[in-house]
Amino acid sequence: VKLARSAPLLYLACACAPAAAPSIAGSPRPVVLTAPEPPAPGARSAATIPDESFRGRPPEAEEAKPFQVPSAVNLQLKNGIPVVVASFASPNVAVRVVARGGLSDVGPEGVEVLGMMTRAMPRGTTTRTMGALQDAYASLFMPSPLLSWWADAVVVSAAAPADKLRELVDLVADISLHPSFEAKEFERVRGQHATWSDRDSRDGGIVAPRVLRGAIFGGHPYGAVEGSGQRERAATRAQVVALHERVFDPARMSIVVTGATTQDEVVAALEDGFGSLHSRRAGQSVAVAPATPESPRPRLVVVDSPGAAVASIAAGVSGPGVGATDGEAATIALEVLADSAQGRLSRRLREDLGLVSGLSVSWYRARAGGILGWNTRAATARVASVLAQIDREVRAFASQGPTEEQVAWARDREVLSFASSFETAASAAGVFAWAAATSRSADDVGQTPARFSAVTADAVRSAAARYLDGDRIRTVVVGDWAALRTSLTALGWGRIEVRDAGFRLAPQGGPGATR
Amino acid sequence: MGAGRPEAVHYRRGMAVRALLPGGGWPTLGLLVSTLLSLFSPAALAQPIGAEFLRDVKQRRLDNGLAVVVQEDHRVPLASLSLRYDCGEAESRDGLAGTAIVTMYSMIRGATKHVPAGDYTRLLDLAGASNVHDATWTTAMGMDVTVPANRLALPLWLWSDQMGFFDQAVDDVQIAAQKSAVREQHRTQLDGSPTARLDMFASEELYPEGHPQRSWFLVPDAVDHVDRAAVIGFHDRCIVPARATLVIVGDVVAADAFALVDRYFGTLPRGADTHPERAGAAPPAGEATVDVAANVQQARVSVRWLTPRELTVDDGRLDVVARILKGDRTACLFWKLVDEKKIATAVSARQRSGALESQFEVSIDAAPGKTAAEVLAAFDGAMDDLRARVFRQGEIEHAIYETLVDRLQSLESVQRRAWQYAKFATLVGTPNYVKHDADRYRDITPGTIRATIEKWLPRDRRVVILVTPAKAAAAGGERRGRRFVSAVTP
Repeated sequence: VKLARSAPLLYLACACAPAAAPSIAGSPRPVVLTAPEPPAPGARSAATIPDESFRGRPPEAEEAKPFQVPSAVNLQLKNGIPVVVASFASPNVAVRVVARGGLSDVGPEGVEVLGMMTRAMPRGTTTRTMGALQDAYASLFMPSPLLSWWADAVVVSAAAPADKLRELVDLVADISLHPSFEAKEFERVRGQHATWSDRDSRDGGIVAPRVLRGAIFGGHPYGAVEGSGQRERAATRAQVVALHERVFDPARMSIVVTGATTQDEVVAALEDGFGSLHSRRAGQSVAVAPATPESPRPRLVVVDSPGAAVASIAAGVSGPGVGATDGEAATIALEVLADSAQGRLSRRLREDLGLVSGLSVSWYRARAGGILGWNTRAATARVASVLAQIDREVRAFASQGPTEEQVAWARDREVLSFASSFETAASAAGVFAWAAATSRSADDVGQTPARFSAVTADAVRSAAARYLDGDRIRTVVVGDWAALRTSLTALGWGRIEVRDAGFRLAPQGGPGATR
Repeated sequence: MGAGRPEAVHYRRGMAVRALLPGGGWPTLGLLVSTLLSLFSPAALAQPIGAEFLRDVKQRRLDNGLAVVVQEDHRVPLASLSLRYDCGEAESRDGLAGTAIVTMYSMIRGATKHVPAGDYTRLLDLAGASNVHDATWTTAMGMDVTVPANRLALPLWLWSDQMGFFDQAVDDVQIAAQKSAVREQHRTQLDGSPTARLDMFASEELYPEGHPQRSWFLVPDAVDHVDRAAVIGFHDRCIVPARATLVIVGDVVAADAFALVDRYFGTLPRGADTHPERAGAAPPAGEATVDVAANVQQARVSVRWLTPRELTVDDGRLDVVARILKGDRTACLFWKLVDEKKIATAVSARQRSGALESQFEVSIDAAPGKTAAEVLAAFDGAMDDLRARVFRQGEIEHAIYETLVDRLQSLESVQRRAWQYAKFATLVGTPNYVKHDADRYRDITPGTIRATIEKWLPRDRRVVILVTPAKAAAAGGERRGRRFVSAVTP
């Protein structure tokens, strides 16, 4: 059977009629691939196409359509939990429960306890087994909730069709407030995840950005490097239960609801789900991360991956936290430097020199600080050249600063990127949740586009000079240390630390640190 | 101007589809969601969700054959565009593998008549564009972008220049630069992971020499023979209005968007609307076992079967089988190999749907100290148990839910909708095929699942890759041996 031009019709007939299985692809047939002869040269030459005058230059922009952040209302439950409601057209409604703290409670060495808490919470509650929870998600046609830890908070995220708000809130409250941490299931999850962490410790794309946090922030809570299977196996159920009790306290919690709903509906549903909760630790203060210190680590950290032909590289510098007056300017400076398409680093390394196939920007801002960084990959033999070029470009950029044109596009794009966050109920909830996690108001969120629009080229130049200082940048290379050692040492960047994927120093007598 | 015919739907394939739709209309996402809810909650049928905010999908075909799809969504001042060509690497000529991707790179990174080299991304960036993507597959090529709604004309200008004014600007220097970029990208991909070449090894067993699916796995030097003539020839065959679908979803007025498309594309010549003859590959005549050495910590096993192509009924059923083997609620294979026998630490199962054929793949990470052969034996035992197992309807319905929920939730995003409409239009001739896609998952019973496993996942017609840890193995994995046993079943 040859499938030529009529093939799509057969294909459709099969796809549209479930009773018509088996499908056409099921029967054996020879492969036939006959490319048609090309048209005669010049048959479709551009010379034969009318070259209208409007094609000569890019079309002008029409008048910009204004973007208004959906207005958000601040409410409070009877037990004091603050609530943010942003109503806008969507087929869905999204809920995020934000519990401030987490990393600042456990410190960098306790990150595995925090991770275990977020993994174990959705595995069953005091009234629902995990199977019952999953059946409930299916009955609402909603994705499974996500639990994650951020630098300043633990967050429970869920979304469901808009008319299912009450059921959604009921489930989210149950998972947030009444996890069972059933002992056998806890051990099962812990064991499996520790094994996966061991496996992932060989994946440079995962390891490099994690280790970079340790390289930049050291012993500060933000310097937590997760992913150590050994430490995960040591995390106990008692530690997780205690941490949950401490973090999911009404004094620390905020709730965000976005999408097709009303204030009245939200308040009624949240009072049912969360209203009966009262603080178990009256008067406790929220653990807040202290100001981030200067990195005590050397400029270059290597995670040895013997035999790796391609190295993963993550680099960055300690950046401004939320609320810093130059936060937006610093973000724009980083975009101009490291944007994957137009950034100075990308153009130099990929387009001009062909040293890498891509480079991506990476940044975040938390309450007490953040990271301005970038990630790339390079063949082992090219790693030293890539690092040297990056160092050169960063120093040049910090002294020269961006052009007005570069600032303009980066600024506009940040505003539009922010606008696209309001495409879906779930992503909009994420924006307000981040504000809640960093103790900012919903009104502050609404000012975001204006703050970016107000950034001047001078402000970006100042931010570039202040933050993108070549001597402060920390670089992590996950690669074959034996093959990299000579060329990296020749960079003259001082002491090179060799650590493992869990950020432990290489043992004495092993690959070792070098100068 | 004015070449478009309002509501004149002339999709050669789309008409067949439309005839199958109740009332010939295009269902909204809201109706779709309500339909799917009915699988789980019959009462929900009475309350279509969000139907009022997602308006109809409008479509036209220009006289030159370009299919245009527009959907208005005014929630944020953005417009997502997706341009997809019904043509891909499969149409690179013999001996010139990689022509499609070099052509794509030349269009994106090189110059066209009115757009200097490098200006494609530069101008989009300056306009505040995001999600700027391009992709080259076996049977399709595509470009996507999201722009501020007031910059809708910019990608249309850029893409029309690629389509109509390419050959005068492209030269040997530009082709050489793009070949170099392709080599670098593929080298990084293949060398960047210890098991990156497993897909290539499997495809060499599943598809005969010359089959288009094999061309996807380009080794870096494969593009050496691609030259300007090959690129121009490919462009003339493929980058033409008659083989393209352009989708716009976002804060636009449909009539204005159609007019803009007409302005930029209406005068471009149609191009040859010819397709190569394509046929599927025959199922393997037996079981091929490939021994691979790789720089991994523990042994691995990957088992592949050749399965029906994307959007067919059995393709959907195999999605559900994958969820039964390793889903969230039901995970028969994981329970058996990881929890019970403790011979493995991770299991994945998935139907990797493709436009020509698909692959069903099961991957298993061995527990420390276990060999790949031991894992394979345990897997075969588990599959024998599964063939005898009677699945509950509840397990199947949950597997269907897991298959569909993220797919449908994601359509709230205009970017995702534009991409999905373009894909459907290219594959089946109509953009709004969402409901039909979902309909494939109706009426799946325990008997259906058993029959699907029996038919498509036989033990004696498959490819098995046994990965053994070896620190000195070549990057990406090294093929060390092969065995073949002819099938015993008809």
